[in-house]
Amino acid sequence: MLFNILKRSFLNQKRAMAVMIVSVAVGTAIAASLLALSFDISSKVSRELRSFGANIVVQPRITGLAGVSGQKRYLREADIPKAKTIFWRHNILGVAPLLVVRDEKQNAQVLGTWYLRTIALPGEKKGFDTGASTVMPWWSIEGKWPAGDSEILAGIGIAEKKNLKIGDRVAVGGRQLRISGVLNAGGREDDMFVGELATVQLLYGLPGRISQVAVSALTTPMDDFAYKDPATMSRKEYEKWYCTGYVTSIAKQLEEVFAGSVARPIWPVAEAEGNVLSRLELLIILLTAVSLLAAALGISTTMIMSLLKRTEEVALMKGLGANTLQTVTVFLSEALLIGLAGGAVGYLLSLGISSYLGYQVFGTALEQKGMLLPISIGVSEVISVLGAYLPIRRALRIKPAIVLKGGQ
Amino acid sequence: MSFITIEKVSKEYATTRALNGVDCTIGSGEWVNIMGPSGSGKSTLLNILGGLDRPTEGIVTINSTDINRLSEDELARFRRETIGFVFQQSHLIPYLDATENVMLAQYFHSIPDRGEAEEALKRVGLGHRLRHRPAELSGGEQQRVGIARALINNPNLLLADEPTGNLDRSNTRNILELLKELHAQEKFTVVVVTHDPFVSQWARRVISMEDGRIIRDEPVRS
Amino acid sequence: MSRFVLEALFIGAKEGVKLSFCTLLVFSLLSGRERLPLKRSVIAGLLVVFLASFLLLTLPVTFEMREIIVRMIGYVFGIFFFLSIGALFHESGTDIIGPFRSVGGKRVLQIPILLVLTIGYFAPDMAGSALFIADLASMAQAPMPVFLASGLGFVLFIAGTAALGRKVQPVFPRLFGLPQVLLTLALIKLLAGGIRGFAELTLIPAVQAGLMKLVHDVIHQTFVMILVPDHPVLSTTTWNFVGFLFRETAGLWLSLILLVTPLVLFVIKHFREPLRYPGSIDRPSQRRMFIRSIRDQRLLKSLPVLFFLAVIIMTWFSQQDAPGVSLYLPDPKPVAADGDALNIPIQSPTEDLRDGAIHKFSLLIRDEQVRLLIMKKPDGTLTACLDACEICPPDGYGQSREHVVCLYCKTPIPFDTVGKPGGCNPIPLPTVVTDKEVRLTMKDISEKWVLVKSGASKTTVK
Repeated sequence: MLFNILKRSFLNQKRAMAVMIVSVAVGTAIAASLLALSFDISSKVSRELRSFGANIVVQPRITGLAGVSGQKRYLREADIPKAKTIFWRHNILGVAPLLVVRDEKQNAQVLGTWYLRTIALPGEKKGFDTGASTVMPWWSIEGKWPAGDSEILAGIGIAEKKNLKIGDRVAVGGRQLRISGVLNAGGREDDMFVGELATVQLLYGLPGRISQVAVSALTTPMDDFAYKDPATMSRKEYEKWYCTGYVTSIAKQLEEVFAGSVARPIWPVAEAEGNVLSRLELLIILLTAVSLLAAALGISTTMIMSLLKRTEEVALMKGLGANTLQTVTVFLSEALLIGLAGGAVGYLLSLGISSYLGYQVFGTALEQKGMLLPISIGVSEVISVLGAYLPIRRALRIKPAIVLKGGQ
Repeated sequence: MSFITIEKVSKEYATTRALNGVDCTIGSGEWVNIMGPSGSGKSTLLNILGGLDRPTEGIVTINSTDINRLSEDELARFRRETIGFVFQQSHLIPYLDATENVMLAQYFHSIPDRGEAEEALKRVGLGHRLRHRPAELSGGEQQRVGIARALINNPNLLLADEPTGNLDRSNTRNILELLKELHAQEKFTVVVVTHDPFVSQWARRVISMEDGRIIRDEPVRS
Repeated sequence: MSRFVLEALFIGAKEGVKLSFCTLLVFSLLSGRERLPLKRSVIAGLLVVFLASFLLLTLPVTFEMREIIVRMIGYVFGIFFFLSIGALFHESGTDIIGPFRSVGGKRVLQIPILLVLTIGYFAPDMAGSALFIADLASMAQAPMPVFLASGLGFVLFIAGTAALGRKVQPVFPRLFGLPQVLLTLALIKLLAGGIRGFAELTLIPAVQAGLMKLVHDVIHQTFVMILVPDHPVLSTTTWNFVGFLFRETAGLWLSLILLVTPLVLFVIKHFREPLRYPGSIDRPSQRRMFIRSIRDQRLLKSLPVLFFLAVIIMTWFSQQDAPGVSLYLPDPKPVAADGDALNIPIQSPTEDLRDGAIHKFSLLIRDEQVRLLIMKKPDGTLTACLDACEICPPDGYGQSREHVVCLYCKTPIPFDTVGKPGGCNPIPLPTVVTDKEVRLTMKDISEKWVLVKSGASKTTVK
């Protein structure tokens, strides 16, 4: 009988029902696609952000008097392939050696690095492509990366200051070098001359030396355990820490392979990731809440409208002896059915929306999680029940005596 | 022991006093007509008897239950198990057919039973109209569905508010004859509110009201 | 306050709540003067359990004791579960008591049976908790606060639940008949019977594993009997099929079905059962009301059963993702070397190394247990490794779907990379694979085993 009432009530108010189902569906679809986005966002965003550079830097360890006297220390270029031999080698996405020297004549710094280099790895057929182009992918070069040891890049800042253009010659390290391009890095490099590592080593007589290594690594998010001081850990804890891909433990392992080095995570990058993520999440939560609220309001107003038309019906039900529970049952099951339909439609819609969003934001589709179907339906049921709350309260307040007597 | 006892019942609305100390008893199986001009309080009295409204003062006892003491849900239960209503408008649900309209009363009472509902419609002479929607039925037929619905749960008390108000003479006669027949079979108590003296021919007792008071209460000689 | 004291308080509270709730539940069935002796026998049983667990607190704890207790909890769950199903069917009109009816009705027998059931139900939990508390006490600096805290939690929560329960108790008879009470007791055993924390559903894996093993063994034995191992046509496909049934998910599903079927059958039967109308009904509306009231009653009494079904199904699948539970962990088979050569047959009547599952073997080297891991890689080759890596302590590996998982650090390792040296990978052994067997040498094994021992300490150098 309940089924009959519902069926007829649906067929009889097709427009109102369609409006309610659509509003639930839209709300749910938005919520579900945002949810899909946030499921995906942690991994995708962190990968996106990762590509914005190194998160570990390896520097020479300054010990004893060296720190006081300002004596320069260097790392060995030959140690670089070892970065791919550590326990977490697969998580090392890029390595770039950096050699920074000061050129007194130009009153500027000169940076030597690899742009793109393939490192042969022991026991692997495929080499490892790395260099500044993978660790600093945002570098944009107008012109070309220096070919051979007679060319160099000028940072965009220094190029403007000294009015240098591509093809000009500039005296660096006691030699006349041709400017093959202008680098726009958006950082300190803009005020430097940048060249191939081997060239810079040659110019300044530092063969095989590098001043630091920028490493980009995929890491396990830091948790409480990760912040523990390894020095105070028990043997078991230490092993666990060592075995987990925290940025700190990866840094520790890098330190072990670079002779005389100290490796530290670049926190600003990691923290920026966290900030961006939490801000995004807040945004997502707000958007979801707003769209769900709108959907619930849509249900509420439409249902009240339809209820006004059905006042006589409700009064009659009460006259026939329907109690609170029975009256609520009729309207609640209507809401639940709307929720079910809206949830299913909303889920289908969200498939489209989320793949669109994925392409817009990340350039790839979002991973479709099967979990989203029950979640969507659950969400839409909650919306519809919330939306039905006011109408149901209103229905319960209807006085049958007045309505039934009143007639037309 | 009387079936209905009304003691000093008054009902006040914001500005008017609809009932003013009504006292009355009705025995089990009686057929009583309440007559009076509009505004005399007869409908209010009927609503109070049906548990659709509560008196401001006084006690109403039906079948030894003081209905003022019942909560809303208990009152609903009392309505569905004890009382059948027939209204001036038949108040059928437009999108349900005749049988389903009767089944609705069964649904709220206990469980719907199609066979029984169809049987009840046949008894009121609508065996050929089982699948018709209210809009496809004449006024008299609609009122017959209303009667079938009111009686489907075997109530002890049938309350009718101007049941023939929208019908012509011959339909009125048919409906009342039908009620009389069913009353003879089922022995429920009938209270009919009307302003039409023609309807009183079927009653055994007529109570006349004016300004919220009972002014006359006399048996009808048939 | 130390962690141990808090934990002891918690354990005590948990036992208190459990004990008083279960007792209230049972007492709701035993109301009335004529059942007073039965009530007394329950109380007597409780006292016995209580005293016995005090004694247990003083005993030294061994690992075996804990194993036994977990197993007992499992048995008790099983007993109550099947008793409740019996009672469910009995109540819905199936005569399954039959000849025992005359026995069951005798008060003389009811009292001892109830006593035994009470002791059997509460003893394992209390014993387990007592052991756990003794354990906590031995770890804490001062044992006394731990004992006191557990006692305090126990008493406070018994009192609390009893006070609260008295208010709720009048509702019990509407929801719980004898079968529902038994079922709820079984459910409590399943969910809160664990001897560690409350949230740790320790029993579910145990019951699950037990049922899965049963299913597995039955199927295995049947197929071993039916099949000729080296049948030219049948063997591979059929063995693959058997292999499919051996998968953890098959066991999971089958054990779930085993547990859920009787309950579903009951619910169906319960609702399908024809009504007997009392003679006093003469009006159709009365008949409908009668049907309605019976229907409501049935629905109400099915609620605990439906709830139980839902809980079982949910927990069954929530366990899937829990580490260590869904992992396939074969028992290592002892093997012995023939001189320096260790040859393991690829196919035996009971085992096929190429079935896609991991296979473990154990052997003794200088009084030390060394485990081997042999498995087929996705490229079809067989690889043999030590069941240990260079970094973690040698806890070994379990198998998840497409990878092995280090039991110590939970690092998943894809099948492809098993057999490659280094990192968290199992240490590969030089292997010669012939048509019939995998050939290893003891020399290689013991050399590599040294790696495990030194490797584990190597990483601790700072």
